Amino acid sequence: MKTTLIVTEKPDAALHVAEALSGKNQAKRISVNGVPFFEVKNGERVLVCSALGHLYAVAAKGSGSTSQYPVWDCDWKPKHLAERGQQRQEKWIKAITRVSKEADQFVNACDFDVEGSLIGYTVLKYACNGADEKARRMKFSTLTERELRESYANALPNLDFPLAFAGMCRHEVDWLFGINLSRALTQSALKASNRYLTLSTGRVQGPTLRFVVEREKEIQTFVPTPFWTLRTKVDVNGRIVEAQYETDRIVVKTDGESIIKECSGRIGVVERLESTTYQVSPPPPFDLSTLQSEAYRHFGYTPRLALSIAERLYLDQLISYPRTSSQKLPRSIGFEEIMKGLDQIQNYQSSVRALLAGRLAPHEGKNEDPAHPAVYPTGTVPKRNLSPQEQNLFDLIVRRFLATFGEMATKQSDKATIKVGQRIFLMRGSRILQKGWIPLYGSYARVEELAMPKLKEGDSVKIVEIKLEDKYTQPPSRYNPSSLLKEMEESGIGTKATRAEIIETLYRREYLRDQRMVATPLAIHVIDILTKYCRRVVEVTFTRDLETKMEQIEQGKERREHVVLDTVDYLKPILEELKGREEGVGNELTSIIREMWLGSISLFVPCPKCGSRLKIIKNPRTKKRFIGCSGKWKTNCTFSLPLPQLGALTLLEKRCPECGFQLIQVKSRGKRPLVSCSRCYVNRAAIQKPIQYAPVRRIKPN
Amino acid sequence: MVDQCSVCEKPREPHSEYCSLHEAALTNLDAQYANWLMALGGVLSKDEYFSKLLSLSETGDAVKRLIMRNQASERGASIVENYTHCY
Repeated sequence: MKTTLIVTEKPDAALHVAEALSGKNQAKRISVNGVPFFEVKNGERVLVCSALGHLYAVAAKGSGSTSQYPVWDCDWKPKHLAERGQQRQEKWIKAITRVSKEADQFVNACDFDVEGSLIGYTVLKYACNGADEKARRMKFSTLTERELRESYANALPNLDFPLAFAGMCRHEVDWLFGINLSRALTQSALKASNRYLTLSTGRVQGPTLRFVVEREKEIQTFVPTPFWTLRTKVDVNGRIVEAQYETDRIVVKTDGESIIKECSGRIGVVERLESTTYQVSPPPPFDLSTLQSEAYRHFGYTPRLALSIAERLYLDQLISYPRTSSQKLPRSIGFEEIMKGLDQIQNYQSSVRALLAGRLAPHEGKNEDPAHPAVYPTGTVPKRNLSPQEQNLFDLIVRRFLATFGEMATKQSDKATIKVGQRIFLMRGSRILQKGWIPLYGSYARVEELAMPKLKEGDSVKIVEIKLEDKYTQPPSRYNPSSLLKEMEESGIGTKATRAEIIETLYRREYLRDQRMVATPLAIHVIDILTKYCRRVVEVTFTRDLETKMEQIEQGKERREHVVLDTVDYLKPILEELKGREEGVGNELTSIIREMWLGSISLFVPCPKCGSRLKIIKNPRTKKRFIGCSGKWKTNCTFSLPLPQLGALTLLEKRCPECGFQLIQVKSRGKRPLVSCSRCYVNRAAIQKPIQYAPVRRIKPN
Repeated sequence: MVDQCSVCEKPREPHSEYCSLHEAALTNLDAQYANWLMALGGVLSKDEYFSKLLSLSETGDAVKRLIMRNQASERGASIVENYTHCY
């Protein structure tokens, strides 16, 4: 009997594949050195194993120094040899190699995308002794039994090499960027200060961080200007309603005052009434980025969290593969079967039945993905209790799917033009004439209705209140994880699978804090140095071009080797320049090290003892923070004040009303922000009666 | 240090007293004063302008820091005296 070895990406997927192929016979779970395999005997013998994500990674060829740069020669090695702490992968590779000797046929059943194709390719090539050349490829978008069986029966005769090579290229290029730039920065700092400082940057990370830093600088240097709006209330047949002046902003205060003088208490005439009816299309089905953006809007889930929940739902067979750019739903997914499945869930019954009564035709978006359709529910009823987060995302995906099959909604917007002397005021309203798809999307649909009183042209209305309101121009909004992801997508950097992870990395490296992103002083400093010494590394252009080239590799229009060589050609002069300016880079990095040790933030009030700058200092040994005088090393000033040790600290641009010292705000999760003055705290503590401690009992040694 | 920004100790921009961030803050501060004057009909002293900006949440931190630093250095000695008095 012939034996086929199927490789999946994750253990859960291996179980689903084995169950789908086993039919009425049960799949047998076997263990090889603690690594689970599934054996199916159904006319043929099939062994199903899983990887653990990537089992192989890029590493430097040979075993050269870990500090030298530039490094251009790289190779694919087992992950446990390329990175620390990957011992589990070693056991996995050995088990797969052992079992592969029993197999005569091989199938890659990892997720059908760049990473999945690469995972399967490297396992088959390196762990299964070059089986990549004879292996077949399963292509599926859900882990349902029907689709898995079909994809096994109709497996592609060869591996999807272009996709795997595009993945290899991405990993190699990222490795070249990461290792060389990080080593250049570390070595420069080491030579200048004799200290190690691990500062990471990357091909996508640098330009992404630059977006946030540039925005941060715009916000920090923003000077608002005043403008005014007119708050106007009119009496329409005894009903008081709001109206707006024709201009949104009045930029000169005296102009606003003149309008008030002219119009206060006067009678206006409805000069014109206009109504516009328009249709609102149902939303397109979810691709990954719109799913992430809606999950952030409705539940506050970060893009990474939304993706990880979606992956759990996919592994539970509840939704299709979430890493997709498609907004298309092909008929082949079986609309009716999915609807009938969803009909089993009480919450969706009425919507599903209403849809099943008509013709099922989804409203699709423009985006396409050759590998997968848009995200859709499989119609499978959850077999376990979903967590609240999973339930929320599942509900959002189901309702979005249902909404795409809905009718157009019809809305009407109304506008009344009121003339008061020579001045024009407007009243606006909007209402829904036909709800169409809106109820299908439930509470996720944005429904804004504003009733306007009944009016006809020539009616008189009285201005009963008119006043000026002070307003100021606003700084640009801070990025949040969702809007930064959108910015990355629009700039063409990163991929749908990597963008969320890059944003998380920026938080982990302490370059960013808070959901409404604040670039830390460290981030600003690093981007300033990179911009000064190797500007191209933080520019979007090269990264965006690389993404295009990698897409061309996927389509078989470009060769991986060319792209890697282009990257080397691009990096060479940058690294030569960095090497030549190691001293300058090192000195500036040293100032970062000093700031990281001595505290990067100084207070605007000077030291009361010597007039030097006061700084927030963190003791590198005890990790305690306090306010200290930077004059310690010049004038031996020892002035210091205590700080709260827990919570995020912000120096407010406000003075204490009692002593004039700078105020400090501490924010802890789940608590109200606490504003305090370190100086008054010390003064009060000095006035209070000292605490009487019980005498210490000495314990005699035996 | 001579080559440090008067506000934050970062390297100064050439021919400036400030680093690039505070130089940009200063440029905006100067540029917007004309708009404030126009908006308020020409009645606004620089001190009033600065005080108003310090009180607004929309004003950037670098701008506030620049104003505070300049105000502090103008009042220099008296501020140090006040603090010492508090202790």
